[in-house]
Amino acid sequence: MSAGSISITGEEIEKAHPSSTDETLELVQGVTVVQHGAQGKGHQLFLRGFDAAHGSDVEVLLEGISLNEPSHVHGQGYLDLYGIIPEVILEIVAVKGPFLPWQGNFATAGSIGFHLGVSQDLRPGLVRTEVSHRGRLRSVVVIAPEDQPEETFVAAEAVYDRGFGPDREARRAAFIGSRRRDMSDGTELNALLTAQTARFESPGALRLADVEDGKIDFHGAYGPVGEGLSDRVLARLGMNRDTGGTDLGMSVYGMLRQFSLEENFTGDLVHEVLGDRKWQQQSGGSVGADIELEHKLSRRFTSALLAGAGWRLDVVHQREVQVDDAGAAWQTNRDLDAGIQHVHLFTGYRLSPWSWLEIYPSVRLDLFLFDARDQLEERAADESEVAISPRVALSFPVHRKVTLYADYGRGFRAPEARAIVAIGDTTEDETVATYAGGSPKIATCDAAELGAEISPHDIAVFRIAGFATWMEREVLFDHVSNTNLEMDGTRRLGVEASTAFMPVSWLSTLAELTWTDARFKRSGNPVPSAPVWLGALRLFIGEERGPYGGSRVLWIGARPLAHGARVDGYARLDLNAGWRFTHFDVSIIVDNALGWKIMEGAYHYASRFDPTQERSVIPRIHYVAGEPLTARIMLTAYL
Amino acid sequence: MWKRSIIITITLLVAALIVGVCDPGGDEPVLISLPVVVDGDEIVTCVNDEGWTVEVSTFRLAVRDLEFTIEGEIHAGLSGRISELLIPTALAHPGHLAGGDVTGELTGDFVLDLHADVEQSLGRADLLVGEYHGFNLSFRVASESDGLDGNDPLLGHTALIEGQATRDDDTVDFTAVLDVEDGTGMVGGTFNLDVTETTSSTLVMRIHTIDPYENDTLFDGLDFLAIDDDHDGVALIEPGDEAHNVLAKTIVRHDHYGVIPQP
Repeated sequence: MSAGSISITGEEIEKAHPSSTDETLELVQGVTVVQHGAQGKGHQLFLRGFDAAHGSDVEVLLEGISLNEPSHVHGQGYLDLYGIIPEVILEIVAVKGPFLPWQGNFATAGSIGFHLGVSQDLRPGLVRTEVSHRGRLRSVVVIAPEDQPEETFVAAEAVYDRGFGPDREARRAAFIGSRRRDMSDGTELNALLTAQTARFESPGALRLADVEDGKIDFHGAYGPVGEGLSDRVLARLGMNRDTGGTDLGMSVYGMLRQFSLEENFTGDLVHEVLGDRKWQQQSGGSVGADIELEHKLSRRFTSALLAGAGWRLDVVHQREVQVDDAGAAWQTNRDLDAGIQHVHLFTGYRLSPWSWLEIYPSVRLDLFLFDARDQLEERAADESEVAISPRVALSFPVHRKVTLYADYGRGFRAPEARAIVAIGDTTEDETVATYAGGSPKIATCDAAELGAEISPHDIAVFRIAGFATWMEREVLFDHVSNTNLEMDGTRRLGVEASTAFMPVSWLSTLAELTWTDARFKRSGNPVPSAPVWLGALRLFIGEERGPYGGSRVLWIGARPLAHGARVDGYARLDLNAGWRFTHFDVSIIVDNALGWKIMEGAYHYASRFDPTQERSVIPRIHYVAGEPLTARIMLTAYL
Repeated sequence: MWKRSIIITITLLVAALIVGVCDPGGDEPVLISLPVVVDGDEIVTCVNDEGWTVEVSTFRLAVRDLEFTIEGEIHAGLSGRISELLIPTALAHPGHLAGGDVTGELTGDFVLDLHADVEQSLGRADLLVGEYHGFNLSFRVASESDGLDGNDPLLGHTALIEGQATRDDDTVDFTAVLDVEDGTGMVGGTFNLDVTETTSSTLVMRIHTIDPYENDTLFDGLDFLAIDDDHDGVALIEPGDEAHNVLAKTIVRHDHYGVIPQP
């Protein structure tokens, strides 16, 4: 693996009591998750100094299928993880940085992979109900026959959340069916079906000054309420075959997707009479196929050849209209049909010539074919883009208690379809034409890291990694101007350290600290919103049966915003306690136990929500509030 | 050993929690206020591409809301007149290029009189500290609320330009009454100033009859002899005329606008 790689087990996830899969991402050191809608809307992610927005710099894979949507009306790489039920996550594998060959589009900050299954100690299943004092009700049923492999189960989840403040109500449901069948010749057949649906409100962001002036509650919303829906069906068929030296894996998959969101983050700043509310819609589907091969080559020393290939087609229809507060459309901003094909090939060679050295060089080729039609402008365009990504991961197990790491890799992010069709923008200003029509290119980054893992004793593990990422340039599509923005290059430097300590069987602690300095290379300005300091402390006390308890402190330092603005950091304490019986479990969880006010997401832009307020385009601090003190009780019956 | 580790853990935990005791807040960048004036120093005699020497005697223009922009983080390879590329991203959705690059403004409706002998004060602009590289404004239609009397030729229009054009032995006195669609923007006028907390400059807005970058003129494309179709030496350029469209198209271009900081 690499210095920044981490594996999180289902057991660790269970101890964290997440109420959605997005929250499990916070178990990955260095990841910050911000919800600026309500349950059902994708989160904003930060990792290693990247503001990945809704997923533009963090690749998320479900059983090898990328869940990032390569061209989404609400944000490039949009991630919706509500189709994954936390109780059936068998393992999360996170690779920070783009160092391994299977990491694809959007893995500029890293990749996070979900492997689903139900471990034997949770079989034949469970029924779980969770209710919070703020009106959240969540129920989960997992059925997993005992005589079947871990990957065979069905699970269903239903959630109603009244929300901790106005305009945050959400309803969602998910279903997962998974079956693994082991054939007599060693072949594994896998089938996976997931379905999810969500209807949710969106409160928008608040101006900090309005809160400080007492004009609105800290957890309030300006209204009128924003609304959204998000539905997806995903099916995958896979085959794995191990012939004693050769591992072969193949899969085919398909997805159907529907998304709609009506939001207003700027009031009536731009459109004084009708308001700035937008209604975004997206529908479409994806099909794809992957094949991977690992073949052991040498008996003199451990070595294996790896190769993989894949093809994926995404077909999307996007529409964005301006609507008034009553929801009546008055202007169409975007009406786009697009097809995006992505072909990838990779090969790598893993070898360990000596006991103290493991080398994993690889190279990856990605080809994107875009075909887009702007129905509004009656303009069509096609484009092809290629990325070649060399990577190498070195590990040095120099001592049975010490392993050193050195990694280099190139990551990339493909442009979205709307950027392609923006080519040929007809303006008479030559400079603007050059700019707007500037060929949208794949954005690449080069990353490197050095790390060490030290286990001085069986009960303790200490990990440290220093990382650096240079992005040649950022290519972003600005949703306001319908124009490609070519941003200046960025560089990120950072250090992350963690220590896990398990002195006795009933006690485990984990402390994590990450520092990142993310800046634009030319101006030296910090990358807005990306946390500089991030720390977490986790404590768990308990055995497999009987009483248990745990706590988590999450601390995020002051964050830089655009234009030299800055917001304070925050800390959050989560507590839980419970009793695990043979067939039952009762837990009480208190999120944000000390009830501190949390500015989870912070931004610097202009808005106008008060009609009596003079219109001003000068940016001001806005934020989205984190959850206040929320007590939950969780009852689980093990079947 | 493990007892000591637990003590350290708890100590760190308490220290981290102290951070959360205070109500959250933030620090806005410093906002300063600078006076903005307009003068006619760049309304100079020029020779257009048709060989006409044009001297302007009156130049009045109805505009709205001046916006001042910083360069932001646009790629260096696109520097130069980069500010024309900037759009008011202030309304960007969080996470989608949140921030925006319009960080200064002077709001209000103005009728600029660019040939006056004295500076015309427009008011005071609010600007966040930062390195500025451009400014924008919007055109509008002048009305009686601007204090114009009922006979003012600018009333109901955007611009009024009067002057004299000469070429060889031909002289044409011209009056141009221009209409620009209300709300049309001029994006990317020149404005280079590193605004700090101690900046006290006066911002002088000017219109350049000669583009300082490419030396083209505001009156390029106009053959005044052709406009003066009755050859009486007097020409009226008004909406509907081809010459009107040529001049109206030029007047909205950023090339001819600049703000100069003066001590």
